[in-house]
Amino acid sequence: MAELSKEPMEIKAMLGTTSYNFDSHEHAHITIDQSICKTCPHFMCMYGCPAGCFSLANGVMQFQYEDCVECGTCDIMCTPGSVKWNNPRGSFGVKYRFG
Amino acid sequence: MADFDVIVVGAGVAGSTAAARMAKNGLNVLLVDRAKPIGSKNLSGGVLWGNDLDEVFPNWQVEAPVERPITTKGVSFLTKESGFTAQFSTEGWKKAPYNAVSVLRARLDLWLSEQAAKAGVNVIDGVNVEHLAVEDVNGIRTVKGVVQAGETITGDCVILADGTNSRLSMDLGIRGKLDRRHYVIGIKQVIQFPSEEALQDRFAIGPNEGVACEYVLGYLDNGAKAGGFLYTNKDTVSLGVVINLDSIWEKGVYTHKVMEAFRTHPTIAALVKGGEMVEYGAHLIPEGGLHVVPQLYGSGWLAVGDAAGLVYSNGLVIHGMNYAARSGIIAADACIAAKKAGGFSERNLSAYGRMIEDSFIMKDLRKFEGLDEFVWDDVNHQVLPGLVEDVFKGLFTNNGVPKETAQTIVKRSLRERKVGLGKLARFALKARKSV
Repeated sequence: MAELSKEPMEIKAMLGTTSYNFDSHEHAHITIDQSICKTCPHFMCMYGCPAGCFSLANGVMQFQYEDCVECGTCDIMCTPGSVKWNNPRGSFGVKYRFG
Repeated sequence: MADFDVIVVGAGVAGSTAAARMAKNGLNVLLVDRAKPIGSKNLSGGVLWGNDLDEVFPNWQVEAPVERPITTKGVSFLTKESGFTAQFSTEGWKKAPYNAVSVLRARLDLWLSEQAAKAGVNVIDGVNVEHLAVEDVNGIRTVKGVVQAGETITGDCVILADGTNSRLSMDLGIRGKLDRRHYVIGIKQVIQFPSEEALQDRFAIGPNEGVACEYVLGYLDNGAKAGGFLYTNKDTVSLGVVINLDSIWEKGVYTHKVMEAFRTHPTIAALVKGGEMVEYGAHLIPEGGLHVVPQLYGSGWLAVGDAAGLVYSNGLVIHGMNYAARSGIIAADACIAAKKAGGFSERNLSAYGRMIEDSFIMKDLRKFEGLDEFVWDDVNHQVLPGLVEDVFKGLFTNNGVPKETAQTIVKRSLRERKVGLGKLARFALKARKSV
């Protein structure tokens, strides 16, 4: 549960309300190829992702799969072909209680 | 002999409807879903229009875990500081069968899959189908089953009901990479009220009444285009935005910030005040009409619901779940007939394509072809909300300045917004065709 603030909330605070069954790192359902990201002119994965899973650190694209809500937006936005998108293994990943 | 007559991948509205109907007609059916429990991967804005499900799940509006009948429908224009809302309600919508009900999919879809199981469907949860088993049969690519962790489960027919981001459609090659011009991202927060009564008081509704309102967000930065929605559930509200991905392309707009720009708008903040966020989620919507409908059937397979791109949106309303239910019903009937006719060849399954064409689904999509262009027209998002604001402010703000006629205000507002007659005429033409 998160109290509604008057100001826009950070994505992490909003995602704190969502349930997950995390899989281990070697089973991450989405991966990126940072060498391809280096050539990307737009970083639209970062803007498109509704869960804020993509971020830049010193100009290098970082991705963390744990907060992913499996929508598929990054796969649409990634034109250079860095994002490799799969469903998580059965029963892993986001687990909506309301949906 | 195959393990099953038909394997349905995906237990959403389309998949469970198809599976239950086939089992009721004697077919040996497997329904497999990657979620555990079923429903926990599924999300939608939350209004299920129409009563199509009743053909397979009689009395579902009463027995299923639905939230509220929609008895008031609103349309609203928001600018940075103002809001204009028109609301319509009618006594007829308060009577069963309801015209529309709000739903929460984690609850509804679990119930639908349980009904399918009761009808005799073999239901498996927590299993992600990785691939389709495809074989060459006399020179024809034929689907023979599904593959998971290297194991094949065989079926004479596979129904692709794996949703908007259908990896099986891509695996089969009927769909390529999704196109940002034809998919929109829906983001949704579920907001908990202290009680059902508190929610009813806030929205001025009775115990078995509900509100659905769509918003045009005319105040977003950098030309981002989005619509908002608010649907009342029993003691929660589904609050969300639908964002045009093409409009944020290379504009530096974060989608989750658009969601919050909506929630914190004064009009919305007042409606959800005192509530607590209990869930945040997102879901792609295939909004491109005919652009996103792939090949619908082939040798040993059919596609239904979101996986088949069967969604209608005109900006004031999005119909997806009822199209899912209808396509599931039609797919079931096509499979039942194909089984009787001796097999699931492309020819026998072609009845599915014909019945979809003859149904309201394809009639709607063809009649309103090009609708997405109207929905996302600049005038809708960047002109109309401000124009409405100028008119109401001009007519009702008392500031000692001599009064103007609405006509004068409209002319000045359009001039200030640099909207010429040509732009308006083009918009009017699109609107005439679309609404």
